[in-house]
Amino acid sequence: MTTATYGGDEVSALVFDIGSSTSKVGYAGEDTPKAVYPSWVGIPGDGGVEAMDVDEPAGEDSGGLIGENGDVEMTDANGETRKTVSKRRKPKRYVGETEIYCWRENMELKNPLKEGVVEDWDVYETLWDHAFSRLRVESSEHPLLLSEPSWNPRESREKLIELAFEKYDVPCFYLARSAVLSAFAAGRSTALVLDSGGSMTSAVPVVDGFVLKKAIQKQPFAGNFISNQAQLYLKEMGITVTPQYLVSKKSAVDAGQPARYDLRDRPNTAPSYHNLAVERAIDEFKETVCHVSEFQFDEKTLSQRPVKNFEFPDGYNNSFGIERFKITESLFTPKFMLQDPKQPSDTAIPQPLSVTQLIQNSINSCDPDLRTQLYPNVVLTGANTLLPGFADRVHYELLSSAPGFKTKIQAAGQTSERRFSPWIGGSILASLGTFHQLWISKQEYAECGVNVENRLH
Amino acid sequence: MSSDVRDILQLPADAGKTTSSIRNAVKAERVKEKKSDGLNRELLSLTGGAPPMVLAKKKYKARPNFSKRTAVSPWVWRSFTNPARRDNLELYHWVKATDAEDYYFAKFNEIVDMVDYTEEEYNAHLKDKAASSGWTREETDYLFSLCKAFDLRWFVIFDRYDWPNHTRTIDDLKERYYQTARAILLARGKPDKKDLTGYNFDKAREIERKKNLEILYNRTAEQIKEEEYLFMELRRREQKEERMQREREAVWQLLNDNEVRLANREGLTPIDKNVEKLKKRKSVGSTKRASSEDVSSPVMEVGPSNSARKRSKVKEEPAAEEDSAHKIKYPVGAFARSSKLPAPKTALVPRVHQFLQELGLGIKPNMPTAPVCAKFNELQMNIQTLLEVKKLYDKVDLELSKMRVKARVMGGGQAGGSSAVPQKRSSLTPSSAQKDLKRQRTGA
Repeated sequence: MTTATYGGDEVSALVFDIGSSTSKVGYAGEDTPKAVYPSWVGIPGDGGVEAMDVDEPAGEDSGGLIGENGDVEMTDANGETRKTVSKRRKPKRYVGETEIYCWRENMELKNPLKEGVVEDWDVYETLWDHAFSRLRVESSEHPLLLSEPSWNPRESREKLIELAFEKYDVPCFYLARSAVLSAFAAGRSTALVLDSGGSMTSAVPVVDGFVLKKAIQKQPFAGNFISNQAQLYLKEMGITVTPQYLVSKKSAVDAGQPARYDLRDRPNTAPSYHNLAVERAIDEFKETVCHVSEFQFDEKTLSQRPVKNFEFPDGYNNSFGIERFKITESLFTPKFMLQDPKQPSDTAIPQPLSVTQLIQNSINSCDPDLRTQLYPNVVLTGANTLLPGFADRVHYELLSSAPGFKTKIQAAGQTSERRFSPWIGGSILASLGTFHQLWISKQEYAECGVNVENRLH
Repeated sequence: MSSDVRDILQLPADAGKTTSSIRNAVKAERVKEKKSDGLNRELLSLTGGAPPMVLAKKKYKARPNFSKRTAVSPWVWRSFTNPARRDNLELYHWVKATDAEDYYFAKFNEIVDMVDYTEEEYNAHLKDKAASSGWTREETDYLFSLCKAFDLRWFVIFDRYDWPNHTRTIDDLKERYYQTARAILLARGKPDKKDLTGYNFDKAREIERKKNLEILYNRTAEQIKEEEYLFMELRRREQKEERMQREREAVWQLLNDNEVRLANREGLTPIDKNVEKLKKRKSVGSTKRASSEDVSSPVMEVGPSNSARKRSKVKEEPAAEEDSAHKIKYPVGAFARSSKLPAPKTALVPRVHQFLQELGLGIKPNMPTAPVCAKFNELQMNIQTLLEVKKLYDKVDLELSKMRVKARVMGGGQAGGSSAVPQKRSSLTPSSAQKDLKRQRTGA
């Protein structure tokens, strides 16, 4: 039997990894997710009520419309009365890059997650709907593996289980901690996973495929925070970022000269749309220009480094030298953090811990016997760790601050591997023959209800 | 048809025969080989025998025969249940139609073999102890359920241990589990000591060990560096000691050898050569480890430091260097000083020895202390100088007498003292030689 050699057994499972900035969905056993889309949902100005009664043509486009899998049977095991609106009559929502980045009057953008945990369940469902329609599968036919943050509270997990079985009628379901999945994707079952994604940076120790909850270290300073810092630095330099959707025409200007462009008339833009548009422009700036100093921040040597040029959507362009390093430095040296001057000082964000400190705090709260296993297995994941120099810096700082240990950083070289590592780990896990005994089946759910959450460790 | 081809290629008609003749020859060779009894048959097979002569023939590959192909093995989309599951969840996968129905991966469902107790067992053996240890029945049950759920992965068990208001450490949990399990095992019957070895848990020792680990981890970089340095130093010293031990043994060996050698006084023995080699290597090494040699013990002085002494001596007396034959060579290790006295020039050896005998001395000093040897050496040198001067004097004297004879023949002059020269030449005694020397000096 071929399975004997590689241990895989495909049961056509689906893997969802709904992150705070992007959702990754696909089939288990593949090496990259089939669909990657922003975890933002566009809500039309009128709330999408108009579309309610309209029988939407099936598959008008794969992007924005909810598929017509309205044949879900509502099995109310617990007398649940939450769902009254059938799928067919769902209000219109926009999901997917092509839909939400497109300007629409009064279109509100919503992100259902806060610090990785679901907050807005209706919006969250839309992301699932979109996933099933993008994959063009019936939810009732495929086992579903979902990643969750390691600090996901019990209530949230119960609700997810309920959602999967009640609303989507999956045959079996599993919730896996994203840190564990990232460790699996890196090929180890014991590791310290440093996940720095969109909203959260966390250091989570994983032992034999189990998360050590007491040693989790997390803070809401990750990619979005760096973008925010970049914005503040740009403001300090007197640069205002005009997002692409407001620029109708621009002409070339010399470096450092004010931009010459025509504004596009976009009345009644929802602030959430504008903010996301600005954030996207800044994200691009960040991804092109920003760099993490590989060693202790030293302005003298770093200003020797070559400058990098960047042109903003409105045509303003300039080259950036030391700012490249200053913006990201707050991840490692918190005193570099800029406070938003608009924010009242009493609500100012507390200074973050340095990423290295986070790792060390996490490892030091583990048993002494474990530390020798964790230090050589620091796995970096999340798109924020893709900032050039990030891995080098973490390694450099760990070497100097924990000299008694053999330290090794496991950072996948490929961008996609780093961005999708929880998804890839889930894909590996859900296609293993030995994993199929762990699924929570519909029958188990029917017997225990949401208490079946206890079985997921 | 083949004959036509041969015609075209201008090959002889019986070309085929040549190949067959080659074949016959090879066959004959093989037969011969088999018969040959020079080599054992087994031995021949070990060597692989003669390389086979293969006549490579170019041939077209035959067309694959598709008609004979077996049917493709069918794969089916089949539902399966996993016996490792408690429910009968049906999942679907692709399998070979011929494959067995039972699920391949079910056998990997390993469950850890751990001790568990029953109600009666607890009441009989554990209840009375529980009170003193601060554990209740409920909490013990909870601990055992976690142990089962996490297959005795203690780090995870401790992480998930969530008993209300507990202040237990991982070692407390381990201790409780192992003590309970041990008590149950003992109560169930007399198990072997071996069976119980896994259930000995010494909490105090664990705590101590972890404390030490913490200390080890909290070393600063300087401390680690220092420790590494000390460790290296220790190893270096150990190696040096070992080397010294080896050298000391070599010295003892040499001493013994030298005694033998002194008896039959020969030139360089093989041991001597070895010693020379050793010395060379040492001198190369000594430059490398100059600092380490400084602290060497007195035993070491016998070797390389002697060569150093030699070097300084050479510097002081550049004259000695000119006379390469008399250069003093000090071997490594101990040696008899008298054996290192420079030998006189080979041409002069018998005469010097004769001279010494005439003086009433031996070839070597009887008591070769350093000053005696030095004096003896001086004497030997003087004797050599004397002999050489004497030789020169004789030559010049002979020349002179010849000239005198010539002059007398030419001018008919007077003859005087010409007969004395041959007389003196023959009388080579210390006294006459000294007189000669004196005469020469005054003459000069």
